[in-house]
Amino acid sequence: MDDFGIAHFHMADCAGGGGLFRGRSVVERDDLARKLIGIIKRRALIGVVASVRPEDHAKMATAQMAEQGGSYILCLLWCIAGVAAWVHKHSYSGSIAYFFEAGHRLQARANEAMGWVNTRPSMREGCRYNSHSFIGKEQAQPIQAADILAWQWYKDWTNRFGPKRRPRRSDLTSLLSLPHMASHLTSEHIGAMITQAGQPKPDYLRRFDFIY
Amino acid sequence: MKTVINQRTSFLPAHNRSADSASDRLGVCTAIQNGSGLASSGATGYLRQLFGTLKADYALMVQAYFDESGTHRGSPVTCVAGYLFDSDQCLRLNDE
Repeated sequence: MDDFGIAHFHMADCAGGGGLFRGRSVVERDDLARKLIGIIKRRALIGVVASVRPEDHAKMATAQMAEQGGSYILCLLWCIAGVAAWVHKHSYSGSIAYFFEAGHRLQARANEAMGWVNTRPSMREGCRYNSHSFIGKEQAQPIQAADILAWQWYKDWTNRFGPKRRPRRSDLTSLLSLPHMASHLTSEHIGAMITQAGQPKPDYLRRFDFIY
Repeated sequence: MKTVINQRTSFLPAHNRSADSASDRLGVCTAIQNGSGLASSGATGYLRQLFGTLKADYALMVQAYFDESGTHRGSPVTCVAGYLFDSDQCLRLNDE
């Protein structure tokens, strides 16, 4: 990115030619995004992504779920469940440090949610929680890697189900050659979470069993 | 600040282990408990701050980084995504 003359990467700006990427050609921007995707594929263990329609969440969520942060926190905790699935699959016995972007308007909610994970022994053990921190995007390339995946997944969903249907982007196809755990939560899944809460292994968690 | 050191085990899958992964610049780790510190650590590289002080043989851990998309009002879908990295691979990513 130093060669490109930017301090940090932001996928939405790169794709749209805004922000730090203003004045850069499509070819230049595409080339940089593909290089970064190549680095992610070389360096990451696995990707985790979860999405939900806020409309589905609002329809199904309990008042408590809505108060605790809505669809964002549901996705966040679902990603943590994905990490727990990875821990279980690989019998990973070390610990995991969790990092989130600082300055997000829902940072306080995310902090509460991770605090909740930390105070429940089964959750803490399941996701091998060690710590969680909030860091600036410009300070950490791994957060920028997460930004790429979050934007790509959002874009893919709108391309597939939005008013203007488009095929999957080739750079996302390339990125997904790295193993990813990906889930789109429907209202049925949210309903199952509510009815199966407290069970040892709720059925909805089995969704992670077949995504490797 | 809480410091945690575990014996290192690489969980990088064979398909994306690079030739340089045997380098002696193994990870190290200080982990900051519950959200303190890093946001104000300056742009000199938080990874260096995290990993730069302890020596090889020991390291930590896997690190998970998350970001979001579609959390603005009126968005049709909300998304949270992230990656898991071995700590030494985080350093390499930072270098690249």
